[in-house]
Amino acid sequence: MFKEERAEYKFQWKDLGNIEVGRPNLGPTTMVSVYRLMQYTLRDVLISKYGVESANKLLSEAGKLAGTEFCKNLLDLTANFEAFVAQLQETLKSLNIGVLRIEKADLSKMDFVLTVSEDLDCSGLPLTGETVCDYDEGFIAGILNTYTGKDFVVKEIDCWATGDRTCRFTAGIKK
Amino acid sequence: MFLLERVSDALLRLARGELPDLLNPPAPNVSEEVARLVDATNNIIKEYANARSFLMSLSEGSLDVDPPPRNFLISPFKQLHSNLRHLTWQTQQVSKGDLSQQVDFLGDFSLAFNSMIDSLKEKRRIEEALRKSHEDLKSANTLIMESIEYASSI
Repeated sequence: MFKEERAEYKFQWKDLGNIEVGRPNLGPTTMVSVYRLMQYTLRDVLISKYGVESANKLLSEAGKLAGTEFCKNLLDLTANFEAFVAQLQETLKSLNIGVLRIEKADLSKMDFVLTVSEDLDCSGLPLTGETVCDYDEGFIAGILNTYTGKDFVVKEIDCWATGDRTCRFTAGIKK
Repeated sequence: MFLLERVSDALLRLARGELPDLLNPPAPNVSEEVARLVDATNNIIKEYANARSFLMSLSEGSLDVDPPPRNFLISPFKQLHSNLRHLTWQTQQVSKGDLSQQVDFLGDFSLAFNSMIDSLKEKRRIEEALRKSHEDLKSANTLIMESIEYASSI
């Protein structure tokens, strides 16, 4: 199931398992550093094996798959845009993923500028001058794609690691 | 003026909030350390120049002006700028009648904004209850009038 060869993605929400049963004593949460340990070691290996550009693409693609499943399983797709944003903000906050804020939303053009503060992936990282939230880019694109049914391109323009304290993303329909 | 004096003068002017001119590149015979000091000072002057024009716009409430990218000097101000943009969007949403939004983790702003949203929701709830009560009264009144009419026709 997890290790069979595949030509297309097979991930399903139930693959996350029954954590309540599996971790009766340690519970469903862990530390942010543990999450980052996995992501940044994985990034390191991906870059070493496939180069920076491919590694970024792979992380973004994985984020997109996660965002798609997250949206399908945890959010109400029938809600209007305002209610959808409100529940997305609340869900990201309750899962300690980050604090989502909308800066601009042009529904007629499907153009958005949004920020994520206290981001799981990057807040507190050393200031390197690089944007590092490739996984988040894909995650947000996956959510927007699933909710709107349109293919979105999401680009991180500011990041904690570029000295901006909050991550800023632009999102628009793929042309 | 000696090179180190010019560096010192530039730094003092920056500390006073003034914008000094960039320092001329040092002569080839100066030490590497001094050349690096001049370079670093010029970097600070450039970053401060970018920051200053952004901060002036921010202080005037011009939120459309984007912050200078990769400028580490003013990170908290960039966060403030982002928060103000978000509050502007939230306020626009409220003006359209969207009361589903909440502002999280913005200190006094959050308290004030969320309290305003709660008040508006309560106002909307009372208005809805009043409207329903008015409708009920109207229906009851119609029934009474119909009964009176029926009674008088007997």
